[in-house]
Amino acid sequence: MRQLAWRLGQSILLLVGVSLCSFVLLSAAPGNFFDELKLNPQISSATVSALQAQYGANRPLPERYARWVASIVRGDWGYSLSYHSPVGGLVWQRARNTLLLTTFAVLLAWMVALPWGIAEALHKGGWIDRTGEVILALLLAMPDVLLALLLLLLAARTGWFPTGGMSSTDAAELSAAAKAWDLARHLFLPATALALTTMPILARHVRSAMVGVLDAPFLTAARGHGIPKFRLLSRYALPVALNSLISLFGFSVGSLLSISLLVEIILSWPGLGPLVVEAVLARDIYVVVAATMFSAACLIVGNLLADVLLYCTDPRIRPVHS
Amino acid sequence: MNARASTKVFVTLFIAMHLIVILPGFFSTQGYAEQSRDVPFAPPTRLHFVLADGQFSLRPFVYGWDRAALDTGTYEIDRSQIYPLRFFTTGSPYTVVKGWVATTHLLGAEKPGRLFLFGTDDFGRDEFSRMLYGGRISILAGWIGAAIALFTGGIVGLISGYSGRWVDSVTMRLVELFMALPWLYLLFAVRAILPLRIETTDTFILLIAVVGIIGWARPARLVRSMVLSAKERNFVLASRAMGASHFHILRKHILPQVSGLLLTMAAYLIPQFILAEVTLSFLGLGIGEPVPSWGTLLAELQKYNVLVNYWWMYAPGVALVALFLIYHWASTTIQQKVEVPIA
Amino acid sequence: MQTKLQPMPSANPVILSVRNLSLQYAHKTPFESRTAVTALSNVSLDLVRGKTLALVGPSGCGKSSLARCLVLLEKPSFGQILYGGRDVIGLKSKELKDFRRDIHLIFQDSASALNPGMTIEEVLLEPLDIHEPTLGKKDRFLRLVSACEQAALSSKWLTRRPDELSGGQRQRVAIARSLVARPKILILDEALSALDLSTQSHIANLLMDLQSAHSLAYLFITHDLRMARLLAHDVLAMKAGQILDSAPRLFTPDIHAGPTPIGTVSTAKDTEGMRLHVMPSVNE
Repeated sequence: MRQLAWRLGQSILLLVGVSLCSFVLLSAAPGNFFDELKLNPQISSATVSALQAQYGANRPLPERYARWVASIVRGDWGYSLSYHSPVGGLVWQRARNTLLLTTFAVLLAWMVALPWGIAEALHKGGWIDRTGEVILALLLAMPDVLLALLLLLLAARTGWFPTGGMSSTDAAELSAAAKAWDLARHLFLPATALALTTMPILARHVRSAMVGVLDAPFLTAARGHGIPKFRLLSRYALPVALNSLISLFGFSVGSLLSISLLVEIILSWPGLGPLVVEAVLARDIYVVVAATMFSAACLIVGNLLADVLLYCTDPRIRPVHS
Repeated sequence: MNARASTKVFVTLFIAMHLIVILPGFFSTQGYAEQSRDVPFAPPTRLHFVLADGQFSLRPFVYGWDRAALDTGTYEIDRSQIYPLRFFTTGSPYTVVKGWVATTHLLGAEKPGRLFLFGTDDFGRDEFSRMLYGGRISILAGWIGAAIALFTGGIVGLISGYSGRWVDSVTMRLVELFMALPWLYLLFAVRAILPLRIETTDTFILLIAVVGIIGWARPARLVRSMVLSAKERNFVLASRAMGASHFHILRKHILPQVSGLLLTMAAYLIPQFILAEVTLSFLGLGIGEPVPSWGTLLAELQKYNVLVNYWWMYAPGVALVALFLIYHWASTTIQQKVEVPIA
Repeated sequence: MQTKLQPMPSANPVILSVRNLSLQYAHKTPFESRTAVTALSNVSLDLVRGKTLALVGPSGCGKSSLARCLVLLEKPSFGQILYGGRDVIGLKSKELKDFRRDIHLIFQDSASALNPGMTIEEVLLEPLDIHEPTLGKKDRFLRLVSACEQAALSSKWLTRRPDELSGGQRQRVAIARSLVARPKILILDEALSALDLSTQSHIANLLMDLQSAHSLAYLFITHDLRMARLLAHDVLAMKAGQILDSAPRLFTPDIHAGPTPIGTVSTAKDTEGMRLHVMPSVNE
């Protein structure tokens, strides 16, 4: 518990650091939202100056940071100039969709990677292992961009899946069950793209972890006792291999968040991805900072979750007297 | 295929692929910005070996397109005229290095025949040539980005691992800060710092800097942990006891230990940085028109009709996959040789 | 003052004196406050030119910490190391050059003491790179050859790497490396302990020959009292970071009555001309 509290404190410090760094750097960046605005001939320079004054863009940096922190307390997270609304609600609405997508993708990736890796490990050196490895290598070499594009092509050609968005246009009139089905259909393509990008890495780790365990003497002994194969796997081998896999979990969250941005843009999933790119292009810095903070928080939570899981499954890292 | 032969094949492929994209001017059939407005989205030109009278021609040749059909937007082969292919033809000028302009191309069709090996895009620009030029940008970005990341990461890791104490604590907190962000968010955040509209050459340099800056943390951490264990080895202690300077110890004992790690990291990082450049350019945050990179070329596929109808526009994607396969092979091979953990 | 050396003739002056040396490791953990571990307390000894001082004690008693302190790999918390009339602790690294050339540490584990990536030649030339970087190519080679001859190293090993040699050969390389810089003091930290018996006697003989040839001072650190008695002119016992005045019973089962000054235990008062033909048994 003490360890957990320690880690939590560290994480919060880290988040503060991230916020400070991103805020200061982005504020110091050449060109801001108003410079872009000034280029627009329809808006007079007087209007721009008035806007600048209104949003306090001319104030010194520490004051702006203080104002921003105050707005976090209110739940606003700053003000988006291009959307004319507080950032908090804007980002949260999109972040929810990103979270939904990544959660599904994590589940999907692990659901495929676990049996895949185990199958390869069981048939080490056999044809299952070798063809499996070739497919994994190909998938690993496939850039995320291309993978998403190919899935988009598949959807466009076959018409089996909707090619964008989160819901059909008539979603509002559907029943709850039909709504869920509609959402699932929309979710399938981006989630698959996302899962396919991380699945090969996971499957490889599962394989090597399982190979390590399957070769261990204690398992040979168990096999010698005549314990059936399935039981051997589920009761003896998997729990031991689990530890190294759990630490992978934190990592997979981080990489999924990244690739999710890209997949969302290509497959038009209304998550953070499109929002962030627009914000970068429009110099809407509070949106960028909020999205960055969100991603950092997700990654930290993912790692923390992995630690807690590890704590629960591995008696070795627990202090003896607690 | 035994291991030795496959090593040969991979090394040859590795060198060939880099040579081609380092000298795109020579291997391409025309400049990357040359437009042929009359033939947008022309399919790849087919090479023929059999003449109209059934005779076999050792020298491959191409046909032109039927003019009348072109006006209606369809591509039909006009068999009335053949254009043989020539090696080392004179074509549009290109710069090899600054100040050295050459006009010799490896391959070309006899004038006025046109050779579009991988078809054309919507401006009638040769996709093959654009792919080669794009490869130069993308691969160079990967290499230089990895070099920057490894150099800064290596130095930071060496210093923080070797000196320990507060230097180590401070740099490791900084590393954690950088690693607390998923890489694409970090890439966007750093990209957001830079001005939006910039000249293309500047863009390239800036882009590489961005790509390199975000990647230093992981190498730094790996190098640091390696240095930490290396500096407690007895032979380093022996050297210290002999009164060796820090510089001597770093150069003679620690750097050789770390170099294997750096090499493996390079083979692992270069594809990542190529991907970073591709991603940025794909999203319109990187290299701008008319300069191609694999990212901007792939971005064409975001248009629905290109995605569905013009399969040759996937060529840069195929090139990326091939390149990444080679790099994955390289990193696993080096890793087995030097036996260092990665990631 | 723990040990009186044998009445020393003026030809055998003390070359290195250690006075009241103490070493504490600070242990820092995120939660607990600092705790200090005492590795050495109040250690004093003298090394004499041409003589061997043996230091015996159980593992973990601080022998190796002392060795590391003497070559300044650790900074002692208290005390003095007097060399050439000066306390070397706290000297700047430039002023230390001579001291570092004159004192050399040889480790127990010869495999880890030599950089596995270097050839034996590179290993042997390292002291020259450090201490005499201006030396000409020819002189370097001569020094190398003479060091090899003295350590009975075959020149065909020069192009090999440490892991291609046996333990005894590697220990010869380590000794040759120390000879290249022409030292005055060798600290042998369990230098023979990892070797098999016949190799032990070979290296021990080599060390004795070298001592008589260059009148080297040895600090022979070991847990093997028989070996210490055979090689050393004087023996010190160490326990829990302190030098013991008297020999503990544990080490001297043959001496029954009361505490005996360890100086009288030491048998090999003069090893010059003496050869080791029969090695002592290890099961002490």
